[in-house]
Amino acid sequence: MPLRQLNRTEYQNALSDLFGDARNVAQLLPGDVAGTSGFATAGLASDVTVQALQQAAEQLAKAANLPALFACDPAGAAEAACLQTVLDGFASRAYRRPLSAAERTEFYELYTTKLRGELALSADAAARVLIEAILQSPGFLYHWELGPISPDRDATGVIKLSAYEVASRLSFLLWSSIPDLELLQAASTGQLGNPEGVQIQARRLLASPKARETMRNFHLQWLEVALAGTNKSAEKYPNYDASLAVAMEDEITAFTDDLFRGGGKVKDLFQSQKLFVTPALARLYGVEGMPFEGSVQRMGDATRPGLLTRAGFLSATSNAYEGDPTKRGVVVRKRVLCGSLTPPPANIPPLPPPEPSLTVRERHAMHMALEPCKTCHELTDPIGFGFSNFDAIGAYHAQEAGRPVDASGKLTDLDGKSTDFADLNGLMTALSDSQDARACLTRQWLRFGFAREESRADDHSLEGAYQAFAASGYELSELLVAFATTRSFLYRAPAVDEVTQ
Amino acid sequence: MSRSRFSRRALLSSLGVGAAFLPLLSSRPGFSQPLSAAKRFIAIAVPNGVKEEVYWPTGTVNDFTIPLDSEVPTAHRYSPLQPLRNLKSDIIFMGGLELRNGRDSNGGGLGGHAALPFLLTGARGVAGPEISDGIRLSAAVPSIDRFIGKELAKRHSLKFDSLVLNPVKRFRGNDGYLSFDGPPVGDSPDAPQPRVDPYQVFDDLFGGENLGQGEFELLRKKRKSVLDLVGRQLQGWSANLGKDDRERVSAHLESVRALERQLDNLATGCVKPALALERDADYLTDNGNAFIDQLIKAQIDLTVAALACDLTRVASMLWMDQGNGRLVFHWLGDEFTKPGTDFANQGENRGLRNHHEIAHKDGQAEYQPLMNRGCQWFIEQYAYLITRLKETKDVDGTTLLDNSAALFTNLQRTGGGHHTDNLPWILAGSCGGYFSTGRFLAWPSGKPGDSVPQNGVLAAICNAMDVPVDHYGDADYGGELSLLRG
Repeated sequence: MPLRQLNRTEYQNALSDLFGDARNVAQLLPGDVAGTSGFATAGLASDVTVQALQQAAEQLAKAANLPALFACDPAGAAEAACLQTVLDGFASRAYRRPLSAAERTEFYELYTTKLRGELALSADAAARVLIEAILQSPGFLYHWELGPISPDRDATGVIKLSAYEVASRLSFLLWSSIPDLELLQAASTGQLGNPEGVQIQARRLLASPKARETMRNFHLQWLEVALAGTNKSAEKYPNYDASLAVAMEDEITAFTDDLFRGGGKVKDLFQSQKLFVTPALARLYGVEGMPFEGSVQRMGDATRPGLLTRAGFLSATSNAYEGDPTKRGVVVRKRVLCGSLTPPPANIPPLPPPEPSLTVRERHAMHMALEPCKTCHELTDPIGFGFSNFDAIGAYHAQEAGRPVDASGKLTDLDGKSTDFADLNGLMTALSDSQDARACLTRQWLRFGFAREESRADDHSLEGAYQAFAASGYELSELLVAFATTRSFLYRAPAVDEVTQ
Repeated sequence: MSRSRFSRRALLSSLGVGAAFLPLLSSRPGFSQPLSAAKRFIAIAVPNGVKEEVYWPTGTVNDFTIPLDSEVPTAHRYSPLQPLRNLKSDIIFMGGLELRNGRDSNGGGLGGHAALPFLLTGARGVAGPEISDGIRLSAAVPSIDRFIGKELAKRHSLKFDSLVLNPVKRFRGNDGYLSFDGPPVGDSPDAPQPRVDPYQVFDDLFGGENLGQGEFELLRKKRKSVLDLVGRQLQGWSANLGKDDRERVSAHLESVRALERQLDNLATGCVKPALALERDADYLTDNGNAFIDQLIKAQIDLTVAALACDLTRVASMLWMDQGNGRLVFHWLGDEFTKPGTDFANQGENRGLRNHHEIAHKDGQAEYQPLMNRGCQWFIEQYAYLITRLKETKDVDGTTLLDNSAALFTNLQRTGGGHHTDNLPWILAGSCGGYFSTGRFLAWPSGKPGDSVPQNGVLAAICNAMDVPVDHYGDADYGGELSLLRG
């Protein structure tokens, strides 16, 4: 995978694992950018970024309880021993590997010669600057896969990752954070040297509550759900507010976390009826009065098959007044099926004002009949029509403009073959049976895990992961376990110009 | 870092910014001290075009008129250029420019949504991350603000290459960069992160720590020793890396060096400006913010201060990205905060009548005045900048405006149509007598309807700033637009 900085979420989670809650300091950083993978990627480190990293490190170092953080007190009697403990413990944890001899020397000299000697800092003050240095150094900030540390090339020229590199890939894929001590231990004792050992750790990580963080990151980004700051018409949706938006996003996390940790399958992703609601979300879904505590799962609401029928997705693909079949269709086509769409033409003429006596569907159908709009919109809008029962915040309505809602439509696959469906359940059945959707999910996890698009060199690994996924009856967690043991995951191709030793 | 001294009361009772901008340059050795006034360049960009029916001045090159609000048809209500009426002798109003480099990069299908990498670079784009609507392009060369800024910072040992400012933090999208340092590295645009927080900018410019001299010196040494180690580690890494990775690390290393340079060059002799804005973490969230108008004003004040103190000679400001789906002009009245419809599902301020929606619907009677008012508000901010430059005295007794080129660009000609020809651009200040102001150049090509590449303006600004070029961007778009000199 290309060298890249931890993205902001990974940075935040890594610091939280090291220091406790680090949400506030992570917010100092500029936001991530969308790389070609379609998932959040750290941009180049500009001076603003480097300065934010400095401030974050200084804030954490200042507030740190040193004896608790280091398991020794630098200001105590055994200062030299404590420095070694810091480099073996805290620093190695931050680096996700033992420090190299050169790195140890550099930190040692910074502490001893520069800070304690030249600047005459107290042991406590010097130790805090040492933390700052560790947190600003590339060993912490980058997903390092540098080759020279353990170059082990096979006959085709690809490089086998070191055990620590595998451990990092695993924990960032499944936890969006740094490895825990057990995973580092597995790396140091050679347990990640074969696919079976990697599998054991992958299953352990997936079973941990920390996997929830990845479920949140992946699924919200996959479906392009980002509701913070979204406004809806107060007249039409008086009950919509920021806390409801949070509940909507939380449901996506809880729903997928439950599937991945409870043996859920692809068909459940598109058809499971389990709801994860707060009282306000229960009211929106019309299931209030059912017993729940906080957020609880409920079965059996036939109008809500799968993740795409949840308020989070439906709100994100709506404007302030009504659902947007085009947007809904575009996300399904591009993100769920991995299909392409040509960019809209540059000079779109201004649209006429909406005609209130028509339904959303009828207006879109008129637009879809026009040239040159037709070519693309025929691939997206008929998918979006399947969601016609849902308004701009994902509430269900059976009637629109005084008529029963028509949610029939058409799902066109990547080969151009179309499946007609009669209603929402038909669309969801078609998606859960879709080869395109299953293959796309496999690709999306690769894009998320590597922060890059797949290439031809990944074909074999994608196929392998897909086969294992299929053999499990499309069990979601098995897809990740299989992916973690592919060649693409355990090896890397050297970069152009790279010097491997 | 303590910022407690910036209490609300302290800010409100402090001097007005106008009085605070006396450029008392330091006599400390090593601090840049121009003998004659330095030249400065400020670039501003806004998206979404204008309503052409009411935007353009009327008349001839040297004798033209800008209408008042009361003089435009009632259906339009506002005259976008009105705030510049009294400043027109300092200004060249330009028409007839186009982003030909952008058009030629995207099979003729360039929309204003994908214009930023082309605006100030003048070169055809190269493959990069998606900028919008599935278009994957980035800048091929640095934008002129970075090109000029870096050269002048090197020549005169300035604290900053340039200031890059934006009133919102970037998140996810690649549609918010006006300034570029070069082609993308892998799928990351090589664009400096914009500065958002005026308090941070203030601290960066003038040294914000509330510390005694000894404490500050120690803090500086600690930071230098950390940055020094980080720099050495980055350098050690880059030896073995592949090309893209090496460039990524070297960008990081350059930023570390820039931060070290900022620690070294202190603006000790300058009078610090006051910020009439309460520090608020909310304007640093990812979701846009409610302070955009105040942030833009504070950023203009800080830019003028930085230029007056010769901490940098170049600044760029983008208000705010390619589509402005997150910009709601809530301070301009209730009609701007009604829920929107078709195009209001863009960005994080989605749901309201944001600038994007207004521009798309500028053909509808209800939206037309909103479009004009939005444009006029941007022009008001530009007029404020010009006025601030004009009332700030430079070292030789002239004004900052006399020695500046302040370029106001729009990414589009029209709102909904996304056209990138006949762009409504404006240049204020003669840049030390280089430009001949007080003119309206409707069609620099001499042929109404025929636009010329914006490259001519870019090259002219480089030359005016004493960073001479034959052309800027791709050579086939031509050299300096000599018409600007008069």
